[in-house]
Amino acid sequence: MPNPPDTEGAPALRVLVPSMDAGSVDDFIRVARPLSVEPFAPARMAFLEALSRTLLAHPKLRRDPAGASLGFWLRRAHLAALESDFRAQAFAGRRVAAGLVFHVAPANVDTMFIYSWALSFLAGNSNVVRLTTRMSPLMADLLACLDALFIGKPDGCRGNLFVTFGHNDEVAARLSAACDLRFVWGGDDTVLKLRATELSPHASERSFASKRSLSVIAAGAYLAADVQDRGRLADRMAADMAPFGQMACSSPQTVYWAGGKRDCDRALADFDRRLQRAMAAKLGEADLGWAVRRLNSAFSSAADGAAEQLTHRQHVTQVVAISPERAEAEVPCGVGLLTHARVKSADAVVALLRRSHQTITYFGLNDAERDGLAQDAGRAGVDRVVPIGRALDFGPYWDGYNLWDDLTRLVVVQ
Amino acid sequence: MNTNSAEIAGELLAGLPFGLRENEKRAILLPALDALTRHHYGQSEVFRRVVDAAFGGLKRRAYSDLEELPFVPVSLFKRHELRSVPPNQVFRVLTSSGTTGQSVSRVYLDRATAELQAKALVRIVQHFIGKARLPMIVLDHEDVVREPSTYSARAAGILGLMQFGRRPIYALRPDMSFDAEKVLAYLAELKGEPPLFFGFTYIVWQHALEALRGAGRRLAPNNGVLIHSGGWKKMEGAGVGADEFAAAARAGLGVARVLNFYGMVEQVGSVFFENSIGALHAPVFADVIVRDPFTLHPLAAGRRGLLQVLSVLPQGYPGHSLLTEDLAEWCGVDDAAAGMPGRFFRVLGRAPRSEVRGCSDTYAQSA
Repeated sequence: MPNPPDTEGAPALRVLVPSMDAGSVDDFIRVARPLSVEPFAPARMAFLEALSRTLLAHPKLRRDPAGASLGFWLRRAHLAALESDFRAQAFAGRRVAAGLVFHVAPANVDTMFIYSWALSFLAGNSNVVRLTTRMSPLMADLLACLDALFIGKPDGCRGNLFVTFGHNDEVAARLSAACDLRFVWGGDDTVLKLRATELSPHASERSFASKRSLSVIAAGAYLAADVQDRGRLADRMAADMAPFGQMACSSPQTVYWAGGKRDCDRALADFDRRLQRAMAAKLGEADLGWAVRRLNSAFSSAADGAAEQLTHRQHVTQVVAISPERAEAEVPCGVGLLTHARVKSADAVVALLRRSHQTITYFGLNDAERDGLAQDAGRAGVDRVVPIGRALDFGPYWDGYNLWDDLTRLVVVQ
Repeated sequence: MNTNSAEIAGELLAGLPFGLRENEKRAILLPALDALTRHHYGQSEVFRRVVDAAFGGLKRRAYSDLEELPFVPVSLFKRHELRSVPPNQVFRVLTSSGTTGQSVSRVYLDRATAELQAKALVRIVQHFIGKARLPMIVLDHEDVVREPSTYSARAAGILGLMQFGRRPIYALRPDMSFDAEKVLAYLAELKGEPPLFFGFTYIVWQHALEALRGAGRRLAPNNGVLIHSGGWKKMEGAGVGADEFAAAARAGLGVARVLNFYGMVEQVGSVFFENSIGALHAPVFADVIVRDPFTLHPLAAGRRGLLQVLSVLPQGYPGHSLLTEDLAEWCGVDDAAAGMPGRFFRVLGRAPRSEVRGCSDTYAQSA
C-alpha cells in the first residue's frame, strides 16, 4: 500500500479498505447505518477469527510484537471472553448496536485502529475509521490483511470502511454529522479540534486525550525476588516499552522505586542490566536515531537540573531524577528512556498524579497496597492499575470508561 | 578567563597549525582541556549539572586521557544557555542556520574567545593559501552579514574568511541569482592576481556553479582558490559527490585549487581542512574522537560512530568538548601520506533523526 502524500491542506479522501467497489463516502453514509447487526453476530466473530489467523500466519506481522499481540487479541478464545464480558453487563432490556461509529485513530499506536474498530464491530456497529495520513509499514500490512478478507467475504462486513484524509474539516464534518458515535483517539489537539465539529443532535462522543503512564516497583520486593523472577519482570517491562517506540499512552515513561535509598539504588542497578538484555531480545539491533534522541533527551534533563544521574546504553537510557516531582515533569522521550525516582512508599506517587495520567504498572505490591493505590490514584486521575507487562493490553474498559456502554444503546423492554 | 588554558591556546596558536605529532599534541592539549573543563565546571551551572549527572562529577585528579574528558551534546546549545562569562561580557551571539521547523543553536561569545577563534582561523587558512591577502569573491549575497549582534553561522563563516580577502565583493544578488557581469568586471581588474572564492558548499553549487554551467560560462581567473564548507546532506540530495563538485568548481570558476573544510558554529575557528588525501585534518589546538552511539565508548580507527570535537579555543563557554550528531570515522594519525602530522577523519553524514509519533500527533497536525 503506497504512502499517501502528506502535503499541506491536501483534502483528498482515500478509501483504503475495502479497496474494491468502494463507491463514495456519501454513498457509504447513506447505506451504512441500517447495516448494523446484533452484538457478537456469528459472522462477525468468524471474520475477526479469520483476521487473527491471517495476522498470526503473516511473515512480518507474526514476528512484530504489536502485530502478534493483535493476532492473539483477536483469536477465538479471547473473542469468547469479550462476549461473556459483554453478556454479563447488567441490564434487563436489550442492548443494540449504537449504529454508525466514526473512529479517528491515533498515529502513535499503529494497531489501535483495529482494536477500536474490532470492539465496535463486535458490538454490531457499522464503522468508518479514519487513519493517519502518515501510514507506517505495520499499518499498511494490517490494511492489506483486512482488505484481503473483505474481498473474500464481502457480505459479512458491509458497512465498514477504512479511509484516510488530510486535515479536511469538510469530510470530518460530514462524517460527524452522519455518525451515532464519534470515537476520537488523542492527542489533546485532535480531541479539541474535533470537539468543535458538530455531531448529530442524537450522537455522542467518546474522546481519548493525551495520557501518560508510570510504573511503581517496591524495591524490597524486587531485591527479595529470585533471578528468574527479576528476569521475567525485565521481560515484561520490555514488552510494555518496546512497541511503538514507547510512545503509546500506556507505556511507562517513569519508574518510582518505593523503599529506602540503598535498596532503591541496588534494585535499579540490577534492573538496568536485565532490562538492557530484555530490550535487546525484543528489539534486536539498536536504532541509531533512537540512541541519539535518548542521549539528547537525557543530557537535556541533566542540563535542566532535573537529573542527578544518567546512564546511556545500547537499548535503554536511564535517567535518575532529583525528585519524583521533577521526574513526572519531564517531557516523555520514548524510544527506550526511563526516568527514575525514589519514593518512600508506593502511595507517595498519588501526589504526582493528574487527570492526564492513565496507567500505573506495578511490581511487588500486595493486594491491599494495590487496592489502596487504585482507590487514591483513581481519584487523582489514573484509569488502570495493572501488573508490569500488561500496560498495552487493550480492553473494553479504557481511560475510565465502559466502552460497551458507548458502543451500544439500551432498549428498555417491559 | 582561564589563564592556564588561555596561555596554552595562545602558545599553540603561535606555532605551526599542523606542526605536532599526535602524542606531542595530546601532551599539550590534555592539561589545557583539563583546565578548561574545571574552569567551565566552576563558571557554568549548565555544564556543572551535565558533568555531575553524566560523568559522576569532576575527576579529582587530572584527567589522564582526552577520551576521559566530559563532553556535552551539541543539541544542548538549542535549549540551554551555555556560557562561562557574565552576560555583560557576551559581545556576540552566533546562531546556527537551522532549517525550517528546527530550533536554532545559540553560542555566546566573549571577546577573548572570539579573538582566539579569529586567530586560529588565520593560522589554518594561511597554512593552505599563504599569507598574502587575496582579492575575494564571496559566493553569497551581502544581506547575510547585515544583522548587527546576532550572527548566523553563514555570516560568521563569511566574516571569518573575509580576513583573508581584500576588496571583497558578493557574487550573488539578494534573490540568490549569480551576478556574472559584476564578477567578470572584478576579475578583469585583477590583472592576473589570483582571487579567493568562498562560499557554503550547497550555495556555491546551486547558485554559482549550476548558474555558470547553465549559462555556458566559464570564469578564468589566474590560479584562484575556492574555499567552501557546510554540510553535504543537500549535495547528496542533489546527487553530487565531492569529486564532481571540485571538477565543476575548476570548470566553472576556473580555480586551480578547491579546499573544503568541516566546522560548526558551536566551535568557530576550530576548523578541519581536507588534507592531501581528502580526509579532514585536526589542527594542533583541536582533536577528534569517535564514539559508539550506544555505549559512548571511544572507537578505534575505521569504526563508524558519533564525532566528538575537542578544542582549546572556547574559553568563555563550555564548548571545548562537544559530541556532534555527525557520523564519522577517524582514519589515521601521523601518516606521511596525509602530508601533515596529527589525526585525520572522515564525516559520513548526519545521524538519522528518529520520527517519534507521540499521542498529540494525530488529526490536528496531519494537515
